Amino acid sequence: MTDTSPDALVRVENLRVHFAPAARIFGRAGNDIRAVDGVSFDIRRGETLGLVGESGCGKTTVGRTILRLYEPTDGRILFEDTDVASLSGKDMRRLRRRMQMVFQDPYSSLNPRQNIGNAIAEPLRVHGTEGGDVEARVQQLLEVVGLPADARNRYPHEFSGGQRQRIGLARSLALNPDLIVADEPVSALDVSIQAQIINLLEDLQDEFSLTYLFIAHDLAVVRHISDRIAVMYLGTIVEVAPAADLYDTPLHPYTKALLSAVPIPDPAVETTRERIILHGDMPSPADPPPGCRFHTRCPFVQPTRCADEVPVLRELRSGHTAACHWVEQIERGEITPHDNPFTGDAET
Amino acid sequence: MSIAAAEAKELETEQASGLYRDALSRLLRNKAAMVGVVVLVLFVLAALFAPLLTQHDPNVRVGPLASNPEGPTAQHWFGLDEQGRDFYARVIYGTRLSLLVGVVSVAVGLSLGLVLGALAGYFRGWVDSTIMRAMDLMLAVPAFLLAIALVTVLGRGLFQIMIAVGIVNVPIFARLLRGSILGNRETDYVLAARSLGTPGHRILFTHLLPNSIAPVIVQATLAMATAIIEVAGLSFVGLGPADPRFPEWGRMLADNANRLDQSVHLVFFPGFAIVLSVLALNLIGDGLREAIDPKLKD
Amino acid sequence: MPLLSVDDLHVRFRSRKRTIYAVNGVSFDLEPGETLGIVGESGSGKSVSSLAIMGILPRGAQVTGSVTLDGRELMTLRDAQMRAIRGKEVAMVFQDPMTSLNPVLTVGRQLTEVLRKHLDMDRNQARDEAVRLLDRVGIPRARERLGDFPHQFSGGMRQRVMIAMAIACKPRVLIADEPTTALDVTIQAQILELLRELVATERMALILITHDLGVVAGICERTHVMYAGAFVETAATTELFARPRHPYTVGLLQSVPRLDAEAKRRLQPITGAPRNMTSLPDGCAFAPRCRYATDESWNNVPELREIDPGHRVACWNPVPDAELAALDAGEGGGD
Repeated sequence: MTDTSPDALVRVENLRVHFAPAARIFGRAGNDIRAVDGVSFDIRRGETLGLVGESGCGKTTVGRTILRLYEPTDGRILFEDTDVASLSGKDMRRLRRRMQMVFQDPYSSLNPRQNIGNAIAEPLRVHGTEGGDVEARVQQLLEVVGLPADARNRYPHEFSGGQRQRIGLARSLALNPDLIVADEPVSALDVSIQAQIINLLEDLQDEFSLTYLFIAHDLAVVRHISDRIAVMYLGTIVEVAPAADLYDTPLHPYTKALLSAVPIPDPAVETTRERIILHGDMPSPADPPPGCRFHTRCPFVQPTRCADEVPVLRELRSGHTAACHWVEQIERGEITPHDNPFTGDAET
Repeated sequence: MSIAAAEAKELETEQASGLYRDALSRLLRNKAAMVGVVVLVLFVLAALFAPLLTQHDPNVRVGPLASNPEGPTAQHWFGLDEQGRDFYARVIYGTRLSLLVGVVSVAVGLSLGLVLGALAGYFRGWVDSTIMRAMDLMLAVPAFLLAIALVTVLGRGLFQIMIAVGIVNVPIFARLLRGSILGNRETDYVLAARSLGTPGHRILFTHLLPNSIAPVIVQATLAMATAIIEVAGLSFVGLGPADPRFPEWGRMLADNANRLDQSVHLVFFPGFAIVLSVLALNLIGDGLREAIDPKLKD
Repeated sequence: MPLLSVDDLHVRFRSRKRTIYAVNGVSFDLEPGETLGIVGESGSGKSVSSLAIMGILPRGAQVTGSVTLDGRELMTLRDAQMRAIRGKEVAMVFQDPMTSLNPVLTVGRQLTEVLRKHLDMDRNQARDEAVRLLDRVGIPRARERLGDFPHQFSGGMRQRVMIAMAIACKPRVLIADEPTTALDVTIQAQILELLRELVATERMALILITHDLGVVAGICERTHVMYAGAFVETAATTELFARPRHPYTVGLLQSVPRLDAEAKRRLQPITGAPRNMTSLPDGCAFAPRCRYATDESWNNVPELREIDPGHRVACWNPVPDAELAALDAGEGGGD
């Protein structure tokens, strides 16, 4: 299966998270939404693992389930060998100190009626820090994220999007966590502010020896900040590789298509690059295609195996795994992009 | 993107989070609401300073018993009622009862309604189902009939009536708060609080309630208005406060409904008082609603 | 004569509390069949400019300046006259197809409505044309889908429907305001490919408004960079990316992570935050965030000036060639 390195901080094994569909009064209920359907990977201590994919791929669900904000339907999540899903309420609260989350939307991730001093202090108070110490720590955290000390008494709506993300970061650092799950932390920010926050994340990682699970859809940002990257499609991982390798030699057809779709700010490159344009839309997670989930849109699809056999993640190069039956043939040039006879099936 | 959304995004409008200061300034600018406030304040003053506003005692006869008592004169501004009492004094003193009923019944409704709504919205599952089914049962009965039923059970004492009218409000408040809480439960800041290990009760009080309470406040003002009408209605059907010492607008209406063609003043003044107080409360309630949930255009 | 000519466009929003100076003196020309990009962040005024051209700003907006289509002044037209132009000569595609399409009308109805109103078709003609349009924008089983409602389409499909509605009357100018921002990147590639193709075959001029430098690099012949309600730099796209002169443009290019860059090159963010447009600056609007700012920058508003053929910059201290070379060396990757 995937790498099982000894210095794994988090180990996800065969995780499945299924959601029951909205109840209906008439007619039979729909299928379960299989947001995450058999995902396994490690997050190594001190690294930044990028988790990338488009909407509906399940990456946000994975992030939240690791923090046990959703309950896993199947599979295990091990934080330093402790099974997260098996912990009691009290133990879970204790574990929460060590893993924190940063959210995407700076406008909804802060309670509009709570001043930010209290917002940052809340984790401290909840976990038993006493009065005077709380004040000092809040002060320190504000400084670390680059906010003025008098921000304490102000309310979220008085700050810009970038500043609110800093507040969210300060809050997540309050308890000195080991792991921070950053769920699209810069997607909602202006371009000129994104770089500030990305740099801040990198600095904080160095200063506090943090491990990041960086969830995003923006490949360029993920490539920049991650050590390794895992690509998700429709609830499964299709490829895992070190960041540079993923870009230089993507092995999975979806990764290739994804990379070729990302706009690059260079007209010389943009007008000459070869694009792999996918056809059709993402199938519904409630009704994923049989066999390889990507086969209905894959430009390299083959008449055998793709539609009925689920590919497993297998190691093709050192530290580089992909879940595709035909990787070797594609790499050798024996299979080239062509029309996909299955595309019609995916249409709703 | 819709035009309003494009504009809002481009212009970095302040977050319309309805913080109290912003809401208050919006309310103050709303002329209709301000009229309502002024009128309500006048009523409150009338209730508090009734003895200063009239030298007559509402229960003392100063004129003859008559089947068509005389109308407004210089001496008796609202004329006399059929028992020879100064009608102006009765209407003024009636303010006390109406306002008292409004406030107390809303307080009763709020205290029970908020608790039930919070429990239902926060715990969900069977707690939610049970509470909501009970609320549905109550709502299935028209409010006024429910009030009548409660009064016949509890009795016609002033306090019992206020409780009865208050209980009628409970399902409305409960539903409102529950809905508001449900809407806020899935927000990122609540999720953040959970990920920090914040215990449930703290999430409820620090995060959910302050952000869910606004529509309830609006409803409370409107509920005061309905309470006044309901008490008047109860009096009208003969189930109002039994104690004759306390003048009550609804009973004045009831007692004098058949005198409409001869002594209009006996119906007009209490009726007008009811209408005016209810209107004022409605204007305030609407103003609050707009102040708390403004649209993005100025 | 240019197809569309915008001259000294100013847009202000006055409210009780304050005035917002959204657009401050924007001028540009659009030739027939040309693709033009307007790049800017939120608050730059790029969307408001396009709404002003279309004449669909909300009521509180004060607009001055001139917008001419084929020499005909649009600013002085009455509502009815402008409505005849909107959708027919100049059409617009918005960012969020969910809110731009009427959720309670079928897609077929919305399309045929546009066709019957502007092209005077009868019901059957309009239906046939609607099918042809949906097909043209790549929606499979077009005839069946006429009867579907917007929510039955995916995000990418909805955007295609919007594009179909926009090109229904073969407009000469299509304004696309962040058309792919809300879409997944593989769907974005599809939509941009569609736009490229339409521009080529329908001989349509395109104004593409976006914050994404990569998107303009791939589709626009000329690009204007917008900041605080005004253009700060305009050039042919290849020239703009090869030799950016305005510190803001340079800053943007340096602060955006590139997929093909050497990894772990530290990003150079632009300090500060985008300007709050509740007042007009005394000097250059970018001065507070600019590392090349001088006294002149703070006190005098720079005008757009030609610095190279076809390349104009509004800056007192444009970035010199030597600096650009140094920046390029630091960037790595690329070709």
